[in-house]
Amino acid sequence: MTAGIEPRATDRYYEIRAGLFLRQMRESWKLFAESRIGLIGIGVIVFFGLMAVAHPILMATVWEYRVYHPVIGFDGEMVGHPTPPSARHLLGTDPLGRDILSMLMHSTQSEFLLGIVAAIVTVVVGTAVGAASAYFGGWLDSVLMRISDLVIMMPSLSLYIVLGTLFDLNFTTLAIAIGLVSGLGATAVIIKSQAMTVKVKPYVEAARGAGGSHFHIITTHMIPNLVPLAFLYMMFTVTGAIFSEAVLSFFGILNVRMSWGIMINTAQSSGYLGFGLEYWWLLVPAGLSITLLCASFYLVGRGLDPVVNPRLRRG
Amino acid sequence: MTRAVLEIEGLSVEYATQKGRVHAVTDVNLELAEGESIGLVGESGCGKTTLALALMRILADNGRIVSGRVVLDGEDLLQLSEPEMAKRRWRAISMVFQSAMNCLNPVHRVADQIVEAIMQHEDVSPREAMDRTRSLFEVVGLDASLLRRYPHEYSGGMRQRAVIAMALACNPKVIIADEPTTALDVLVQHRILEQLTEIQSRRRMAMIYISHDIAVIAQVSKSVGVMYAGRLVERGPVRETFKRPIHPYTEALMDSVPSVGGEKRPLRLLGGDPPDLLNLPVGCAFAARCPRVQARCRSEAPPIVSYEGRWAYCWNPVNQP
Amino acid sequence: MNAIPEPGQVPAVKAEHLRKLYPVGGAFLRAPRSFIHAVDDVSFTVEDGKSLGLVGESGCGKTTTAKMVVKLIEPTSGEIQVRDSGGRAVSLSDLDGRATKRFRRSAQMIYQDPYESLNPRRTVLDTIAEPLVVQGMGTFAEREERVMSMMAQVGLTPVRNYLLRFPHELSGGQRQRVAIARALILAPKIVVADEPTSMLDVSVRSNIIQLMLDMRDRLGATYLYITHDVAVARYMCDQIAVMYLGKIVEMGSTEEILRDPVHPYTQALISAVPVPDPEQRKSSIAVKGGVARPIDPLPRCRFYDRCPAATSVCEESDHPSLSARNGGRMVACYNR
Repeated sequence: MTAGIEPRATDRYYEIRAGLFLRQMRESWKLFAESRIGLIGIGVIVFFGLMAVAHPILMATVWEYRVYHPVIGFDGEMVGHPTPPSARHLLGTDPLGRDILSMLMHSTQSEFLLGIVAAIVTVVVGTAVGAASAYFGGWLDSVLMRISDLVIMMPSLSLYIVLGTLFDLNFTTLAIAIGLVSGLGATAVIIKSQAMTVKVKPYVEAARGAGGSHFHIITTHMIPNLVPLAFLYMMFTVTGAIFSEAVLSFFGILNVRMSWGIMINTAQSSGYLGFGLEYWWLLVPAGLSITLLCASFYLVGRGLDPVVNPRLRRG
Repeated sequence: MTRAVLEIEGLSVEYATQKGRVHAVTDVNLELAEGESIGLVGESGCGKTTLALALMRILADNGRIVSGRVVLDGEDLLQLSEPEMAKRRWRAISMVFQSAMNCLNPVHRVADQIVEAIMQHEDVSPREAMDRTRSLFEVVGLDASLLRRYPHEYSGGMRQRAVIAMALACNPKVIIADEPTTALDVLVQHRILEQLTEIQSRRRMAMIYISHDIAVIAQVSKSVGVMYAGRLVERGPVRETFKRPIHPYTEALMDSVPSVGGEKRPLRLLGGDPPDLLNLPVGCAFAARCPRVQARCRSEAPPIVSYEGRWAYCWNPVNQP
Repeated sequence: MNAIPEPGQVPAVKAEHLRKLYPVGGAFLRAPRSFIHAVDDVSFTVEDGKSLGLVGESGCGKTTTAKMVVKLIEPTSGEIQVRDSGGRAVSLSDLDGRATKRFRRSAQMIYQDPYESLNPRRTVLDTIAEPLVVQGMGTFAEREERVMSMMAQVGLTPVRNYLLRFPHELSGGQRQRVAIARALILAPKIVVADEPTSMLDVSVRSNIIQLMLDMRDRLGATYLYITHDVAVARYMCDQIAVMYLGKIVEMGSTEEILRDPVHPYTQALISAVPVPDPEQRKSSIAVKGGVARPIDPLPRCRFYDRCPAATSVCEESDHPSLSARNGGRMVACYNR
């Protein structure tokens, strides 16, 4: 048994709270770290995070703006773009004479933005819809769950393509759309089923019996027991978001200037696909990044599983 | 006394955990004659279920039998290879678990599951196995119409009966029942206990009945073994043990049961918690909670006090010959 | 309990003709085909400071009855009156939202399973302080004071060791003490306890029983104690009401019922309780079958199917009503 933190009379409420929170975090981390796959995921995410952070620094110091800019750069000293990797361009240049590494690193920032916004929207919408649906039941539940059915039924990629042709989708609006689809759809249904099991716990009835309002019960008893699960699905949403973005960019539907999908799109539209691995540097860096970052968030989700679902814990 | 069918000698079991070794069962000695039944009583965490799992050799992955012998019909079960042991389970020694629902596969008919269990262990035709299942249903008091039903169509009591039928399927010499009635209503519990005792004595099986409730044990068996912190601290016939317990823990357990008949006596309160099994005390494990504690209880392991065919480990027994 | 209250003395709880039906088989826009009669015409009175045990097997309606008394379930019909702080009788159905919240200060419930009744993500302090928080009582420091003194009273000492623990760091008995502290921190006048000891070890059980008795004396509260174990009821309750399939079949003083049960069901229930002393064991009374679900029950005695003493009257007439016997005992049986 872990001994409780000894509160002294001088301790402030929030200090005690913070201490407890940290303790819980430490215990969760220990559980998370037990599964190697979660750690590998974190490692990959950190690697991409460093890439995203390093880009503006490199641009400000060693990379010449005119040559290395990810969108408007052009290296006039090299002849016959695309050029294969060299000391000057570690991952070569694309058909328009831009540095692949710079494009790759610049895009990483956007992918993180996309993933994080989509994830936050998913968690907020999914938890709210799931909790409200389970707690109140009745017509509200019916309406919300029919919406969920509708969203789950629709093929999401086609939906984004339609949205992209109707509206001007950029990273933020796409992220919100993905977050809404995930939050209203599968995540809401999963959170709701969890919320149903929480709703019937005697401690929820005890809170009601003490005079607690619906708001009190939802915020103090339901949501804290749902958020860990929502967090898990948040990771899977990030994977979906990055993947969807790549596909949509490849088709040129999004109004974004640079992303991993656009890099592959450029290679394709300039006619460099279909030669096997002859022009591999146009394809492999972006493709591998998409795969790795998608996989890493998925792995983190898998690593979180035993933290979130105590029944998966050993002994 | 007839010959012993089951002899447990110096059995110790440990669990490996992150915090260290949990000494779940320590040096348990127990003999069981043919047709004899014993009730094992103790608080949760006293090692009674672990003992049962060790006898069946179905401990969890982190559990390990450290030492001891479990001799069933002259054969040490602990020396057998796993395939050999698998043959003994159900046929020689079987177990009724606490939660019946977990023992029955929800997607198969109950009777089919018993038939399958019989055919796995014995070379019989499906027809023969089905006949035997039918008579088992009769024995445990289940209606024949339930044969074709699925577990979810059974009530809690029926499920527990089906699990008992399954445990009896291969005519084991020893049956272990681990709190099979705790989740049931009083009347159902009562009936099942009656039937179980009846079957046990008619088939001359040896039975180990595990419960935290000493009153239940008094109903099903003639002798009782009291476990505390992984050790068997007292053993004797129920009647004598109830009247004149030797170990102070046994006395405390008896006195904490609310009585329904006779005079209403005040409930005995047993304070404190059982010791940490990671870190057992040097002397008697009960010393910290014992009203009769003496200095040497804390420093030296208690000696055996034995008379009239019963015994206990104690320095300062409640009753002496 | 059946005695006429002294002039000016209003009983703490008075339930009259309580009924709770649950629909089964209904679907969207389709009326349910039948009803489970969970509680069917139950009336009882509990005097101030006394405790009534609701005894019976699972599915007999004892929990539903008790939850109606603390207004966690609304009765289908019937009335419950409780004594308010001014000593007047108030009907629960008359309470509006605000009055209900106020009523909750005086009526609290303790649950059966200490592993389910505490939120795993909240500390002991959070859990016990919750009723004070939702009732808007005291500052954080004052609440902490009250929680600590309540913890000391229920035996969670040393208090500071337990204050910030989570439920998974406590034993079953300790959890139940937390649940009791949560229920009692508002100093309720009515306490409903739903088998608080049935999931606990025997040795822990006696400690919790003793704690409940001590707290009753300290608070002067009226207890409604739900149990399937008549032996526990003997220690907790002045009077018991034995329930079977939504009906009270026998009601009276605990000691008298235990000594001389009249209704065949009560007799079976008492004889089935395991007794540790082999010499005290009585011959048991055989009861056929198991408890059915009271879905649209036939108009006959509810216990007819299982009763060892059933006669044709029991089948032909409706369920017998409670009638007074010697010494204020109430029994619902045609033959006894």
